[in-house]
Amino acid sequence: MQGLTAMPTFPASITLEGRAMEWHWLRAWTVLACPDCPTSQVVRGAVLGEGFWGYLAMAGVPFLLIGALSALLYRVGLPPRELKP
Amino acid sequence: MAGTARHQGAIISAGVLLGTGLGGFFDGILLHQLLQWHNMLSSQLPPTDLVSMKVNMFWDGLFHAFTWLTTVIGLGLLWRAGGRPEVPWSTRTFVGSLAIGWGAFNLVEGLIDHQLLGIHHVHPGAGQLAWDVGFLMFGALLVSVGWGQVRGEGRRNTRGKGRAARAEVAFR
Repeated sequence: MQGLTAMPTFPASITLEGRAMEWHWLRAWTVLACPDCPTSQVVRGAVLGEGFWGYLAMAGVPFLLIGALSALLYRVGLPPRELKP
Repeated sequence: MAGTARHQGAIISAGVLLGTGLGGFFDGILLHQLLQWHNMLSSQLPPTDLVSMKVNMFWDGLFHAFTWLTTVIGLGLLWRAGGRPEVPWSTRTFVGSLAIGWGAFNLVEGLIDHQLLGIHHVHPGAGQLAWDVGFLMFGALLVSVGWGQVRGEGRRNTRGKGRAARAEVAFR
C-alpha cells in the first residue's frame, strides 16, 4: 500500500461534479469506473436520451455500406445470373 | 475443377471485410485512444469534461463493436473460402482485398462522418480540412492499389490452391 499512496494525483483541472480530484490514482480510478454513481447516471441519460437512434445509424451506416460492397464483390468470378423470362 | 478455379469473389469479399476491420481498429486505437486526436462525437460534444468524455467513450466503444463484428464476419467468409476448390487461393488477391477494405473504410467514414455529418474530424483545429482530405486521399490510394492487385491476379491465376483444392488433387 506504500506504493499506492506515493502515486501521482490527477491534475486539479479534472473535476467530478465540480470537485477537484486530488486523490491518489487508485481511489480516482474507482470513482471513474463506478457502475451506478451520479456521473454514470448522467452519462447513461445522455447516451440513451434524445438522438440515440440517429447516432446509432451514424455509427452503423458506414459498416452497412461496406458490407454491401463486400456482397457485391462476392460475385467476381461467378457466371452472370440468368434472367428469368 | 481445381484447374478452372475462378471464384475470386469469395476471397475478395472476405478480404474487404477484414481490411475494413484493420482500418477501423487502426483508426480507433491510434487516432481515438493513443493520440486522442478525435472521438466519435468530438465535434458535436467536445470531450472537455468527464461526462462528455464518457459519452464519447460509449460511442467509440460502439464503433469498435461494429469493427469487431465486421472482422468476425470476414474471418468466417475467409475460412469458408479456404475450404472450396473453385476459389483461387492467392496472396495477391487477399492483400489487394485488404487494401480495398481499408481504403473503402477511409472513404466511407471520411465522406459520411467527416464531410457530410461533421461529427468528428481527423485532427480538429486550424488545418482540419487538410487532415480530412489526406485521410480520403489515403483511402482512395489504397482502393486503387488494391484493385490493381486484384485485377492483375485475376488475369494471371485461375488455379485453386485452397485446402479443398489440395485435397481434391490428393484423391486423384
